[in-house]
This record gives sequence, C-alpha cells and structure tokens, in this order.
Amino acid sequence: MDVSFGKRYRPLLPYLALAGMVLAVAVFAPFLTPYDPNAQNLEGALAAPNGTNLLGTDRYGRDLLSRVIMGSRTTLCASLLLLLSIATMGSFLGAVCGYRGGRLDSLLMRMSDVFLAFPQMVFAVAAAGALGGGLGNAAAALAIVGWPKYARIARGLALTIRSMPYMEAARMAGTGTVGMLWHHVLPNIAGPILVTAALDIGTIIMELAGLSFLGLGAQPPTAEWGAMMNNGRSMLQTAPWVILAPGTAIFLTVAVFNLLGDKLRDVMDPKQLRTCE
Amino acid sequence: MEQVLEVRNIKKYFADGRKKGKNGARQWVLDGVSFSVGAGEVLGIVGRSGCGKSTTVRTVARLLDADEGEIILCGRNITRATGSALAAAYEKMQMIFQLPEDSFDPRKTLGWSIGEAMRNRGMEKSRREGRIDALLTEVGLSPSYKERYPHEVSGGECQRAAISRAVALSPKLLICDEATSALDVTVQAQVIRLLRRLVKETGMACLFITHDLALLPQFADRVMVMHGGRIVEEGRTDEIMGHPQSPYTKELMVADFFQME
Repeated sequence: MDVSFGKRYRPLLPYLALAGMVLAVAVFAPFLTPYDPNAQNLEGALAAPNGTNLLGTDRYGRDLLSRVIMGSRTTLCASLLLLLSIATMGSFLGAVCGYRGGRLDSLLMRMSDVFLAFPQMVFAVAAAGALGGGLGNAAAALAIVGWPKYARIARGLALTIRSMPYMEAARMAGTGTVGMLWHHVLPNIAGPILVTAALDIGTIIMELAGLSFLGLGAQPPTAEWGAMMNNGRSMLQTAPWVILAPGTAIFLTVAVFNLLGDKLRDVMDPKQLRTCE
Repeated sequence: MEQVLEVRNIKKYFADGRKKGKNGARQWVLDGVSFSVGAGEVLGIVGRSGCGKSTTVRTVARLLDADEGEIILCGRNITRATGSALAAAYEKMQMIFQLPEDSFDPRKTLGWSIGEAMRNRGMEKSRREGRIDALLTEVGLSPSYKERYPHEVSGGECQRAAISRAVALSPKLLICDEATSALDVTVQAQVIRLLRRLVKETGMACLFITHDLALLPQFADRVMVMHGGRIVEEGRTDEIMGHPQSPYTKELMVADFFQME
C-alpha cells in the first residue's frame, strides 16, 4: 500500500523548519540587525562579546551580530541563486543530451568531461582570479565548474527513462521533443536532481565563502561570511570572536542544509515509496 | 477487405558489440519478414522469447527503424517517416504495451495520459474531457478513474485505461504487444473480450502478440509463427492450431500443452 504523502514527508518537517528559519533571517535581515552592519566605531573596535554587542565587534568597531545577520542574506542569496542556475542549466542540458543523443550529446558531454577533470575549487579560484574580484564573478566561476555534475546526473536519468514504455506511448501520442522533455523527462528526473541540489547547498555556501575568504568573492564593506572570516584571520589569537562569529554561522547553516538534504534523500528513496501493510 | 498494413521484407539487425564497426558483425533479428493485415482482422504473432515478434511490431510502430524493407500503413509508406508524417501515422496506429503500469507516466493522472494525443492535436478541453469520460466508460471503467494515478489502480484496470488511450484517436491499426501477459487469467479473459468487441465494433485491424497459444482461437483470425527472425508458418488460426505444418509450430504447441498441464 502507498505511504500517504503527509506520512512520507513528515520526517522532513523539523529540517524544513530549521532551513526556513535560516532563510527567514536572510530575507528579513534589515529588520533584524540591531545596528547598521557597516557603521564604524573605532573607539569600540575589537570589543569582546558583551551586553551591547552580543557577538562583539571587528577591527572597525562594526557590530558582528549585525554583520552576521546581514551576511546571511549575501551568502544565502548568492548560494541559492548559483545553485538554482547550475541545477537548472545543467539538468536541462543533461536531459536534452540524454533524450536526444547524437552529436549535441557527444559535444556537451566531452565538454563536461573537461570540466570534471579539473579539481573544482582550483578551477574556480583560477576562473574567479581571471574574471576579477566580486561576488558575481565568484558565482560565475563556480557556475562554470558546477553545471557538469547536474548535466551528468540528468543525462543518466534521461537515458534510463527514454526507453520506458510510457515514453514510447507518449511519442505515439504525437508528443514532440519539447513536450516530451517538459511533460515527461524533466518531471521524472526532478526528484533525484532536487535531492542532489539540497545536498549541494552546504557545499556551495562553503565554496562561495571560501572564494570570499581568499579575497576573490564579496568585496569590502559588503558583509559576507567568508570575507568576514578573512578579516578576522590575523586576529585569531587576540580577538577570536571576529572569526568565530561568521565561522559558526557557516557551520550551522551548512549543517542545517546538509541534514535537510540527507533527510530529503531518505524520504525520496524509491524503496520507501511503497511499503507492505 | 481493405488492407490496413502491409509489411514488405523488413530486415533488422543489431551490431555485435564484440566486434568493431557498425556493420562489423550483423546479428539479424528480423530477416525478411513480410505480412499484411486487413480491416477488422486480427493477426496473432506467436513464437518463443527472442524470436523477433516484439521487434517486428516495434519496427512496424516505428519505435525501431527497419534496416531494409517497407512498411505501408493505409497506403502510405511510413518506413522512413519523421515529424508530421510520423505524427499522422500515429493517428492511424496505436499500441498497447505489456506492462500496463509502466506504459503510463507515473507523474500524470490516467486522464492526462489518455487525453495526451487529443491535446497534441488541439482538441479543446471540454470536448477532450467528454471524450475521456466516454472512452473510460467504453472500456468498463468509471470516469472518476481519470483522476487516478497509475499506481492507484490494478493491473487490469490500468490495461483497460491503456486500451482507452490506444483507441482515443480511432486508429486503423491496434498493436497489442503481449498486452495480456502480465495479467492474471480472469483479467486476461476480460481484456480479450474487450479487445474483441472493440475490433468488431470499430473494424480496426489488430496485431496481437502473445506467447500463450491458448489465447489465439479466442481472438485471432490468422496466426503467424516466428522463429529466428523469420516467419515459419502463417495461416488461418483453426488451420495452424489444428494442423500445424512446421516442426517448430508443432514443438511450440507441445511445449504449450505441457505448460498447461
């Protein structure tokens, strides 16, 4: 007997709630910050966490809690937009390649092999360096190396379902290539892609923060977690809270999205779609 | 009798993957198959697994391309038809697959899938919905089944829905590829009765593939026995079943008899 929709997805709720809280902080960041995240107060620089500045201040006296909250918006928006673009583009290209085959498939898959042959982060650092600093360029660099993974997964899935009887029945119903992709291929490969994307959110947050940490991502004075950690790097021993505040934010956010991805993978496992009474 | 389908000397091979080159080592799966079927006629195709019967009908349905030969459907050569010509051919020819649940997109309702061909041909929604209701009723299902997903119905109900989808455009040729193999005996009999009634009422031609010889006298007018990608015997069902000439057909019937025992 089929497991009911609600029962099947119920284990996801706590993780969805946590992820929702993180996203809500990012969306409502301007209303949640106790101080202007960019306002400098050199007299209060490098203050340890206290009643006024709950997470302390950085070398310019900026309130770290405000910057962490505002940084969530920058980091999460950039990460989610990047993920959406590479997952959409990669999946679409992979689905077309898998469904149609032929020269386009050979060309795009050889291209993806080239990108997959490079260590992803090294390639992204090189691409971001070549494109110049800035969050947009860092995201573009990660997009260049990120799409082949989704294209490969989508192609494999499309190849599997291409010869299913329902695909042949749809072809015999006169459905054209666009209709086949839109109505049959993409909806049927969306589940595993979604799970992969959910598991990738944490990785992308880390990679974007990593590029910012190296000075190739967000530029001052933009509040971004990786850049904030870079600012606190030289004060690790004298003022560890400067690096700990954004570091903890990255850790917690990545943990929440990884847990969500893991749970999503569990509930979407085909073996759990049905169970015997 | 108006001729609906004529298959002339079709050949199909798969390249042997062990040897290099597309044409390096040809393994013929169809080796000069020719037959025809007329309106209102049911041609049964039988043979053991791997004899080429499914490849034959899949080639006729243009799900596979023939390497040689011609397929003439209602007077039109569709052997190399593509695009709109192929879409037009599919208005005249539909297929019912072996595994009913697999022949419906798991993410679409039965109604959506039944209406797909009509939607692709621009039929407006209200007319389409009415037609889907009528088709479901015709195959003995309640119109409410159009809201159900393939995994929410039984195998027999799903195959009935598949039949309603296949006859939605009133085709001239219905291809049943082991359409009753995955069903239990009572449901098999119901589906055969339904198919027989539809063929009689609509006058469409039917290619009926089965490895169950016992089904043939109930449904097929003529029988074609295949072995090794070739037709070894063809004739009226009562003649073939009563007085098989080919040793292979005799062997097949003996094997079927012991299976029944």
